[in-house]
Amino acid sequence: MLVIGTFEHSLELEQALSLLEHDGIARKHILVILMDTDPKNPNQFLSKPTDLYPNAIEVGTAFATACAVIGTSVGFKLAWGPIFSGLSAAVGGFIVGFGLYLFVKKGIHKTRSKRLPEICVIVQCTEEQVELVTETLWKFGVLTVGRVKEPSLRA
Amino acid sequence: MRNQLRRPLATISVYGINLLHRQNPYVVAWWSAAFPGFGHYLLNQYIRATLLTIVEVIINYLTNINIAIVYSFCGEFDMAKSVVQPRWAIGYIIIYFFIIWDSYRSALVQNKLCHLAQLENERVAAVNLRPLEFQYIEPKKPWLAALYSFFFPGLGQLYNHQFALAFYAMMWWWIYLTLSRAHESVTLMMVGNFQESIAVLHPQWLLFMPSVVGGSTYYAYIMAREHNRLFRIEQRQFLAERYSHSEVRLFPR
Repeated sequence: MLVIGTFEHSLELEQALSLLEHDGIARKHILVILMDTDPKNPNQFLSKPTDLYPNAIEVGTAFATACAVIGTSVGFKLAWGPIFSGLSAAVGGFIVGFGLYLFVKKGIHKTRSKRLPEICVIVQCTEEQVELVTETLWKFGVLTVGRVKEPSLRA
Repeated sequence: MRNQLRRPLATISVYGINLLHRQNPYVVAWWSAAFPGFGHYLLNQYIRATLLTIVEVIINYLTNINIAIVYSFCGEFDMAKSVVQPRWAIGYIIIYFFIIWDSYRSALVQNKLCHLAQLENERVAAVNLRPLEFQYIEPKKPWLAALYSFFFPGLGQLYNHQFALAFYAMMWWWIYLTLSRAHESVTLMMVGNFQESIAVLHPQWLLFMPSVVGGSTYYAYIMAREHNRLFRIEQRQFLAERYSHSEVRLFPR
């Protein structure tokens, strides 16, 4: 039997694999496939155009800090004082920076679902082991699980 | 293991994870402008960054830069002119712009080094277990890191396991809180005593605080995000290595 599970990158994934090996599944009967969640280079450190929100946050925080300094200064002349004035200027600045970035970049990007199957695990096991393998996978945060008889063994 | 790799992507020490990451050089330059030294924190150059932040606080205080900024934004230009100390001001400006340029330049170089390290794909260590500390790569929540640092700069860094930097930041935040009397002012405002809440504040020290909150929040967010990327890279290296001899045949002959 083949049991197939998809995972996100997590410590639980390693726990699941180690436990399967511990419970008698030979290492050579486990196949791990690293899935690309992006058309290019999976190990990419460079912020990609799909990093829409992180980039917007960068711009937002920069705006917020600049506005907070100005807001705090002006606040000494305002009834509400520098702290509220600085904080509200920071919030305003963040919204403006964040919003402007999204507005300018809108349409270039597609939104993606949050939890992607980044790893595909295929376990070859006997009929009796299927339940054990499936349960282990579910216990350690697998996203989806499928099982199938090896194609050649089908009657 | 240490120093044997020619182009390592990351290293785990007692003080936390240090990693190469690509970043926008203009963003790095901006943080240097917001608070001299912050750009160099983004560039992983912690010792010089820390020295730069100390220099910034001392010279800024001696020159009365922050007080002059408050007067300028309030339109009282004569007062602004009168408080700035000319014997420090010119030196401050020269250093200020050098730091911005230096961080911009270093970001460009580090982006290239990062690219090389990615291509080399040297094995990344997953943990560093020492007698008095335990450091490891783990998935983080960037939003949570940012939130902690927003409420008390340093906490986001603590969440990211950078404890030395965290306690340095927290020490300064306590100093700012004490000298600016910001939390006292907030308390007075809560009970509706607005006049007094403004009067207790000290502008020289208060004006350091927006940049520190902003910088610390941003840095916590970025580091948590980069830790996630590093976790992913390390796990992929491990899995590819460990299961490279799999004999699973989907379609047996």
